[in-house]
Amino acid sequence: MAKSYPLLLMDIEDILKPPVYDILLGIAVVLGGFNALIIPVASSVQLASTATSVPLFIALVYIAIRCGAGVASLISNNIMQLYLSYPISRLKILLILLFTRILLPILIIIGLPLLAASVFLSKIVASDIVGFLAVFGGRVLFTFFLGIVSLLFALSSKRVGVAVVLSIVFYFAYNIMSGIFSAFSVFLGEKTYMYIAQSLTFSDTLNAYLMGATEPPLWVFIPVPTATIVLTVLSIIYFTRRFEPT
Amino acid sequence: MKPVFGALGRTLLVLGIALIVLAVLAYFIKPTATISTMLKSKELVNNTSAGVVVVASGNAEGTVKIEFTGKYYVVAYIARKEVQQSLANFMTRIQQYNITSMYTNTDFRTGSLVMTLQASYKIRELLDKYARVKDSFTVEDSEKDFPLKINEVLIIYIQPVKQEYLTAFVSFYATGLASVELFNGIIIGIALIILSILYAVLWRRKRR
Repeated sequence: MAKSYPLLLMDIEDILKPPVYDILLGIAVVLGGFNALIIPVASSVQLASTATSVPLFIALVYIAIRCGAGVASLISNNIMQLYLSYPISRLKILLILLFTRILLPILIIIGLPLLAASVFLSKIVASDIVGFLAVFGGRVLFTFFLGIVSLLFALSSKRVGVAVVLSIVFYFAYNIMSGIFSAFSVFLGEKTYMYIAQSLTFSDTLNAYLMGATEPPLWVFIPVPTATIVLTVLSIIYFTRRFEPT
Repeated sequence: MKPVFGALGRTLLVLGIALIVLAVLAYFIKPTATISTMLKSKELVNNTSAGVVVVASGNAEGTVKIEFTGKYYVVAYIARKEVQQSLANFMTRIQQYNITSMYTNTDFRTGSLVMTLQASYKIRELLDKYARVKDSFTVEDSEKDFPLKINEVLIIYIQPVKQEYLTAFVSFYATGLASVELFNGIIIGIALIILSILYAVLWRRKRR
């Protein structure tokens, strides 16, 4: 495990490089916290949902830059070969990338606005900490799902521009798809379409469910976590068996 | 040029500055809001003239709960404990708008008062009534001791849709930020900035 630390620290330093990190983090905290302050919230679930809606988008942009473009850049600049020359397994290298390129930025960019909002509205947070953490967990899982798609694009395309464009196109296509299913449900009067749309917007649906605004069937909470697990396994298989860093 | 701060130091600095910025913004900008709530109600599909209720709000810690209970909507307003009396007075004033019943309940966990109302207004009647004031009215003689002065109350826009959902947009406008702990934000923000500077000093010394 100790052998992994130098690579881990080097990659963390790379992903938290100024000034993009500082600027986006500042925007996320101010906008997320401001939303939570200006909208009258009484429940911790509503507070967490409000405070993380803008940071969620910022986290996705950051991941497209630092995960999509970043990993593709590592490959195109032959730095990935240096990574792979470390005396650690490919699996550990991928786990480091998953942590530094996806999970760490998500935890910081979504977590700090929540922390800022909690400072100002601590009594509301204290009223239901479990719900507060559930919203945070839902946001992290959803962003991780989109982040791992971005990582797969970077690993397979190996080109910076392609990885960024594909990551952004996927995100917008995903949102549009959700909107299309919502529209179907309105025009055709078929509930199933609405449930599919709800399953796509996993974290928003979870927040609405926790606030009691909607009562979807439980299966709508299954696709995104399942897809996240499947994509993680796929990325492990691809990186450890088929990936060529040239 | 050598970096002055490490990633952790910069994170602390950004958070500290953001907290102070938020405290200043929250102090100067009035909290205005629109809450949209999805109401689930199969009955509404067939009966879009179901009763609705209007409730005032004006607390950054408050919210409006709306439930469908068959014929009536039940609307609850959560207020901080110290505004109970003022709110009760206010609710008494709006009794004139045909609110059929009202009861209060104190939530000891959050230290808040929940007021639940029922009214027999039908949507069309309600909108007709408030059309002359553009779906809102102003409480001019709000209580002097009300910590969050209510400027404008009301409001219900009911937008029936085909499905089992009905969207109600409840908006309100108020001034005051009694429930937001601005002081915490400023103190913790300054502490984080000092901490980040200390961290930067130690970090630079270690790098040498």
